[in-house]
Amino acid sequence: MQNRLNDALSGQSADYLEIRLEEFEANSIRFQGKDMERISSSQERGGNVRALVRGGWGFVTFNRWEELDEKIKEAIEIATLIGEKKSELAPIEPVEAELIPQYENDFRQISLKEKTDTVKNYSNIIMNFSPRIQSSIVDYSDRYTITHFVNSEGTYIKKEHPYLSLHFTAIAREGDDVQMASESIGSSKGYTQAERLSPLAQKAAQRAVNLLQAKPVPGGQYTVILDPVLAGVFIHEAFGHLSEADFLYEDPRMQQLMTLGKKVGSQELNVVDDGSLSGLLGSSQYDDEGVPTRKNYLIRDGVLTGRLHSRETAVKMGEEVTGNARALNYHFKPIARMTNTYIERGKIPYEELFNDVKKGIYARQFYGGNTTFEQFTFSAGEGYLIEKGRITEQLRDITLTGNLFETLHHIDGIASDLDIIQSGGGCGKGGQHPLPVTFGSPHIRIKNVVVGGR
Amino acid sequence: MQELLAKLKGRVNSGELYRVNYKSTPVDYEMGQLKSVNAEEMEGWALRVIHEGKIGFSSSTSESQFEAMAEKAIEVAQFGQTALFDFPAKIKTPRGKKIKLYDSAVAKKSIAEMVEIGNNIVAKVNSLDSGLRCDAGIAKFEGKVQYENSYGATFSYQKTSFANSIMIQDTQENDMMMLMESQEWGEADFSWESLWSKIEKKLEWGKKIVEIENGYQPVIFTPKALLVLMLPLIAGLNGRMVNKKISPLQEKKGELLFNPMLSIYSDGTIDYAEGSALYDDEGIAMGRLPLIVDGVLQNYYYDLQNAAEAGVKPTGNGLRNSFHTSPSPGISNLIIPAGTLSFEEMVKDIKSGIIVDQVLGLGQGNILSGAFSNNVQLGYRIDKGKIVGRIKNVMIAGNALEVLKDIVAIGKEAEWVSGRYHFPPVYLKAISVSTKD
Repeated sequence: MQNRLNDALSGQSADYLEIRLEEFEANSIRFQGKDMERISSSQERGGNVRALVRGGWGFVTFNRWEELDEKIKEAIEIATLIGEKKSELAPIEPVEAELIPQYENDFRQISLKEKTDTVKNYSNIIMNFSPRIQSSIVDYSDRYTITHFVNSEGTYIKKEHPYLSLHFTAIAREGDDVQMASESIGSSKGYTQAERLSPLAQKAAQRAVNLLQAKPVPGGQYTVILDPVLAGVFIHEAFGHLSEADFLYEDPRMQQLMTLGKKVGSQELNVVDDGSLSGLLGSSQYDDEGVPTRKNYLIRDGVLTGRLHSRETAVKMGEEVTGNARALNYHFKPIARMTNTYIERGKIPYEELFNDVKKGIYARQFYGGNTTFEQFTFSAGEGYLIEKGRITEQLRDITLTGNLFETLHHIDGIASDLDIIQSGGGCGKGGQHPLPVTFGSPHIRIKNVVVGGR
Repeated sequence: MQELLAKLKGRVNSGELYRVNYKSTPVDYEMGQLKSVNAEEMEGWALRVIHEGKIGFSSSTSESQFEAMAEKAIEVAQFGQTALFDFPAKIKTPRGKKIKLYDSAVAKKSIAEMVEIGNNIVAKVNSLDSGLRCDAGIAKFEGKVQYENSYGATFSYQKTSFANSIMIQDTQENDMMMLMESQEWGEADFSWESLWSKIEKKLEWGKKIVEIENGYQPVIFTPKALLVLMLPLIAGLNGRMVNKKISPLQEKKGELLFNPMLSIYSDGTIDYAEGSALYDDEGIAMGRLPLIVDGVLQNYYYDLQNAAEAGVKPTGNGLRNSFHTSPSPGISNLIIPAGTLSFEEMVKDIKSGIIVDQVLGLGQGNILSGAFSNNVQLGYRIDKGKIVGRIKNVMIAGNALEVLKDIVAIGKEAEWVSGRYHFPPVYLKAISVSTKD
């Protein structure tokens, strides 16, 4: 394969060229209530070519590998048509690597019957949890992907990538009131992970039933304490996306907002993105441009210290490459993305965060989050009212919002209980969703957060 | 396709083969500069079989993988969902109705012409205010769908789409105004004038940032923002949710649930709309299905399997999210007939309230319950019948199924959103608004 791809690249007239060929096999099983809802088994093959000519990018995607030579020509033609400046890419060392993960209990060796039985069992656990559980959805999916990446600078990387996820949704009902709660895991390891999730299925059921008793949160401004899950979502949504350099690198006003060295939070605040951590969903030895991943401090001691780059954004901003160019699959080009993003642990036990809160909200778990850089919003899966340092009643429909820079300054407590979350969801950007990432944090406390409510 | 299906003979009770291929060419501008042009080609095959009363499904990207797909589909059918339907023996075409889906002018658009459109967009934004950031996308799309089942029933159609999207951003110290407008349609030509006059108006309204009060107040949702209130209805009227008894709208057929000014249709028969087609993805003719008429719930929407489960006729709403997934109930185009009040009259009617134009966190939260809670990413304050400025750090929240009972007026200027939602502005009596103390 390596030779074939290199042959295809030789003698072409572009400043830079890369090819990505990809194939995968995938299975998915969904139970709704106690019944099989759907089961499918798929295979897919495709590829893309990206060409850079005088600063213009031509990008071509296709399914038929046999048409590769024509596709290379087409990508160069398009790039030539629009390129009118100088091509710039941060220099990197070419690499040759085959990345084949080692793990036990390969899900490709497990029969569909066994997978179906596992899903059915989880579905029964949720359905039998309480008479108030009206329905459930349990989604299992696995996918084994093989990609070949080659570029005109001599890099060749073959990656094999297993991915497995399980989602549990429990739906509880009382009259017209319908409440739902979800739990999920994602994993880049073997099937063993999928067999040990009864507690997670029960947790989803318990949370859905509890939500029936919860009151809608009254809107207003609160001190909030976020659990590691929601604090992880917060740092991912509110700050992480703003660190992705592709939205900054040609925009001087945005760069001013994100000048390195700017004080953005308290001395205790440290935020890291690290694609080189072993075995996490956002991890890989090389990113999708063949750049080695590494630990990047985005905020250190409260000061803005780094951001997430592709080769193009790095060179244009005069900074080092970080290994953050990622593509969801062959339909997309690599763009600056997060990998494993977290707030480093602080010093105090999380219980102490509650001590001097007169009136606040303890927000846990998540439905989702969203950002337009300055403004962000994210929704808690469950929450509680805090009065005089104690949890009093359960609340629901909690969505928090704020301005990023104000909010970072308002973090006034970081606990010591760091947890990294491997959820079965993923991150979305520019239509590329769901990209496997992890996020994490200790419990944190934030002042003056606006919460929507009735 | 017939030959491929013939290979299933004797191995399954019945089968259905679906093929989609498309070419799409997006031209992208960042910061006012032409950044990239893509040429994207995609081919997908999906095989659904019914074997011993159960459904099996498999997909791939090439007909050469048909045999592997057949084996997988038959294998998974052992564990599959019980089939309550069979594939249609005949594709029935409603008489006298031809739906236009394909415009050869879109297919013929050259990259150079698309670049010219992009340059014009950038120049126009620049002429409004040279300090504004402008990102833009111009994209053409040409696709073909083919269907055949083992009873010989077959259909195919071609479809085009042309999309222009504009993102305008004004960045100041700790303030970012972001306005997004787009047009998507099956034909190549559409009115730029109305789009620009809308953009100019919104930029003008947004120049000044103003404060608002906490509490319940009148709210106008622009067509672009109305999906906030429609998503819970789309979920609740889904025949699957109703069959599973998790819809708050179940067993409410014939009941007056919303203000009588509100009617909602799923309509797949509109020329050149994004969600239109002759047939749904299972070969059932698309139609204009009344969901809500004068506030009364008329119908839920179904695919074949769920219609059979409910004991009703399929409604032509069996849609595939992509070729990877089997059909499930979906909305073609969602239509809310316009009302009588103009946007200006609505504004004039409000002493103190807000306009919501863009939200953050659409669909995030417990949609099924009707609950919504969103940051107003772009919105304006109305004071004594006039728009006085842009609002920030504001959340709106409520339950869509409740607030739609209290509609003051439906606007007369309906617009297409994403090429598949035809919505007028909707003026609601009181929504909870939260902001900083």
